[in-house]
Amino acid sequence: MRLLALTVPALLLALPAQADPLQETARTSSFEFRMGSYLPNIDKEFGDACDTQNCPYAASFESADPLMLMFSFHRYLFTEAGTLSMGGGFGYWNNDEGRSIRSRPGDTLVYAEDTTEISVFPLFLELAYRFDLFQDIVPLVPAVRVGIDAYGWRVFDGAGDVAQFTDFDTGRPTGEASGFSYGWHGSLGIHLLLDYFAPGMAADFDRDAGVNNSYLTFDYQIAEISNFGAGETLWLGSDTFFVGLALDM
Amino acid sequence: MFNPLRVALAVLTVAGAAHAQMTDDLEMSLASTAFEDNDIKVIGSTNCATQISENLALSGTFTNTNTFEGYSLRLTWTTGISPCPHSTFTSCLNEIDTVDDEQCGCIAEVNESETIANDDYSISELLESACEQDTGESEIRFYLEFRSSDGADTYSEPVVVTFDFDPPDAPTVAPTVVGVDGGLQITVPAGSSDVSRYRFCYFKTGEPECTSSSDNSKRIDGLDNGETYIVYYQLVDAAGNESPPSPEAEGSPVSSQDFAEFYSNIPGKAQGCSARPADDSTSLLWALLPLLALRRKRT
Repeated sequence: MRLLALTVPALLLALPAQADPLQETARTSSFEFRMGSYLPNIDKEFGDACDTQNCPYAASFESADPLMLMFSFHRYLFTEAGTLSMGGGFGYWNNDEGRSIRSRPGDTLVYAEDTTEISVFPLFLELAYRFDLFQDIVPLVPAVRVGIDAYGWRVFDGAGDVAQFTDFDTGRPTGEASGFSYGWHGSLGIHLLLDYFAPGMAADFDRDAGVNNSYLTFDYQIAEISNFGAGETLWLGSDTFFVGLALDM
Repeated sequence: MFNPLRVALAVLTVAGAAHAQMTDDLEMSLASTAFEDNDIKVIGSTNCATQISENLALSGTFTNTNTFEGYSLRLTWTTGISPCPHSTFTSCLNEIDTVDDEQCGCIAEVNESETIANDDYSISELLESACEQDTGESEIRFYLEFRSSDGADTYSEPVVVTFDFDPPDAPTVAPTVVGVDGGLQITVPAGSSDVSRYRFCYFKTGEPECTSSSDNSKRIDGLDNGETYIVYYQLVDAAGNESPPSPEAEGSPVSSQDFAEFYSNIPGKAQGCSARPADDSTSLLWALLPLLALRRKRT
């Protein structure tokens, strides 16, 4: 009886010292995959001219907006009052549904039986802030990010070769239709904390794979990719709504 | 209790296992650049002479896992299905005989050696007469024979060379030809299962130029816009036999603008239209893109 009287209080005292099964491991970084329908603002370069003639992207690709895929990795700089992070990433977008055109830009649009294609490979560096102080109470986390971008792009002709820009006056090729466009982006979003709905599963995920938090992300991104207004490149900015999955690690 | 059925079954099982092991220990190969696909050794009428003029090196190996002694190996060939019995040949000095109306030949023989090859025997000369046939299909099978010291024979799986001199039937449908910028897009109906390639031919005047594809659609570039080209095709089987030509169709390449050309043709730099080709610095960035794949997360 005496032994029991000594043991029970000792065990009770020891309990708080044990690891909390729901306690999170340290957060240092995050990985995110997101995708969204991307419509490049190529025709914006031509301004009002697109009202009176066929502008290139709308004519060749009929303003199609296939999915852009983005991958990013962030390192946390500060996690005490929300999470501030810095990182970078890359993406991929391709539209191979383009049609070659027989008519001149100002004439009635006449398509040929040939095809054309454009590929875009975004690279970016960005700062992000996630206001996640109260995410255990309300699982909706406002997020904002800004960054700089370099979008690689390449245009292909119907034969699958890299297309050529041509001289307006002579029609002679002036060089390969391939290059980089530089610019910036900013986005505003809401990230839904999935751990809130299945804390046990989230704890297992943290213990087994080191993933602290999982978010379903919704971001509206504005990008201006026009060499910061200097021109002489394809304008590849866009307003894009991205949906993704982010993992805190 | 003695059960004769069980004993018989046991004996059969052991005998079967021993035989299977022996066959597995015999391996043959016919190495040559003569065959497009080395797993399917097919020779057709078009390239028969060329194919058999290649070096055809026949070799066999025996893995002596049971440490046999006093055995011999033979390389033989036959126009039949089964290997010719050992007794067909009194010796193996390029001897040719007939068994059940099928020709049999002995190529080489070695005693107590685990390797054998056709060093003094020309496989090309053996196959030469087969090139003289006009039509039809025939086969020659090569076997590696193992004879144990007590006179029991075991044969390898055969290496089969097929002579297929029957070309596919002539296509009855003309190709569909669509003019594209500086070229033609040709599409033909898919051939039957024995068709392995399509030979697309086109000409404006004079001799046709031809190109092959395993796909039944082919784009031909480097042609003159506005000119009329005549197009036909042939079906080609695995042996390289070409069918007679299909009915002809006509097509003309049509000038058109891909996205970059259309972009370039929008008037006036003042309104935009200012993208320029990649320079050296952007080429460097393109070259750096694959490094993304090599990037590793630091721990």
